Amino acid sequence: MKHHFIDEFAYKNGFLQKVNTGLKAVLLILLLLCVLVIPEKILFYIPFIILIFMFLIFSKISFMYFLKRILVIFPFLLVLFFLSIFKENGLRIFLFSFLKSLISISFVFLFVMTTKMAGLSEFIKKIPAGFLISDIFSFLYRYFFLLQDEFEKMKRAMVSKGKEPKLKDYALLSGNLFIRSYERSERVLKAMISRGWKIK
Amino acid sequence: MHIPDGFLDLKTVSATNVFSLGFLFYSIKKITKKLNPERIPLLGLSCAFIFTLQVISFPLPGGTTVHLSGAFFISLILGPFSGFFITFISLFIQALILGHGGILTIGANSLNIAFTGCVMGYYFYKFFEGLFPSLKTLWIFIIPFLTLITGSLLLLVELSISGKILFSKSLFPVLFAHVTLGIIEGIFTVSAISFLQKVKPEILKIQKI
Repeated sequence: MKHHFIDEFAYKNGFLQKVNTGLKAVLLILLLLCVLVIPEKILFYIPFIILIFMFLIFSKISFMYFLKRILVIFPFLLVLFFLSIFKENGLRIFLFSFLKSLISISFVFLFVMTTKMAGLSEFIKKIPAGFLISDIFSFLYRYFFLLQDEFEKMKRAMVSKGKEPKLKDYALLSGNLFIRSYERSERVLKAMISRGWKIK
Repeated sequence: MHIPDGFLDLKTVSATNVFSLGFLFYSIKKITKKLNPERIPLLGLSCAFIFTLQVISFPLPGGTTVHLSGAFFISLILGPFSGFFITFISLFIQALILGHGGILTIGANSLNIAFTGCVMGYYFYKFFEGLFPSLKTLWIFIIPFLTLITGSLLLLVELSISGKILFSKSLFPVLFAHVTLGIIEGIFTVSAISFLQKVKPEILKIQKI
């Protein structure tokens, strides 16, 4: 299966790529907090939108690719739209929340797209109790694509044998995937120990 | 459902993050104290598994698709604190790289999905299993259903406290959608656990934290 790794733009020579991961993370949280508390007046949102475009240009990120990525939030927003319209002034409330959501996700994606996953893992290690989070994060990023491929292979094998999977079959496939993850974790542990990983 | 950034106000964001981050650090403390370090790869692979499960779409009749939570399933195998910890990490990474949920709303999302599914679900299961041990399969079906409903109610409370929706008007459509999802999650959990019981029962005997 072909996967799009989100950090592919992190290897370009752009503005945000050069900024230290820790500084970028702090900046991201501050920007998200600012977006959260800004009043519901359209004028306040314009500087944020300009900032996003400036970051996109100076960090050499393809606008179309970026747009495709932020479109993922729309199904969630659609549900929230139908829930908001029952409220008085619901449409206005939804539109400003939508704008806040779009700006926030743009900042998050700008951060992730310009940060190498290994760098992010190193940064997480520095926060309190971060060593376990960093280990699990690295495992997740390393094996998620693999498990996704394995699941697709098992599903394809089932379909090629003439069985269209139903919910119960998906549960069996998931159970099977967990067994494979369990067995893989035992192999990974042996490989880690043989490469000098020390159990603290 | 994952709440994106921008839909919760500052007080709700702060309260849910204080609770969830507090519980996360408490879980990490418990895990590092009790976990055999040899189990770290299993924890990592389980996190990748939960992430995969929450990302893969399962088709339903009528052309729609759903995502499973798997939070209760994983807590039955690894225990409530490990379950909460890896579901939290999975939700955080989903928000970071896929845009499913927000960064500031991670506290609310992990409260609705990870805390209810893993911690509440696990202890409710243990309580009811202790009372009626012969009805084990029934509890494995009912508990994920109930935790999903609880999660959806919490979601409504958080959104209505933030002034985005009216609780009374949104209750029926949200509950209706989550009842269906709860039944699916229940069937999934029962089938997957009985499959593990048949094929590799030692997985269900792993140290639970």
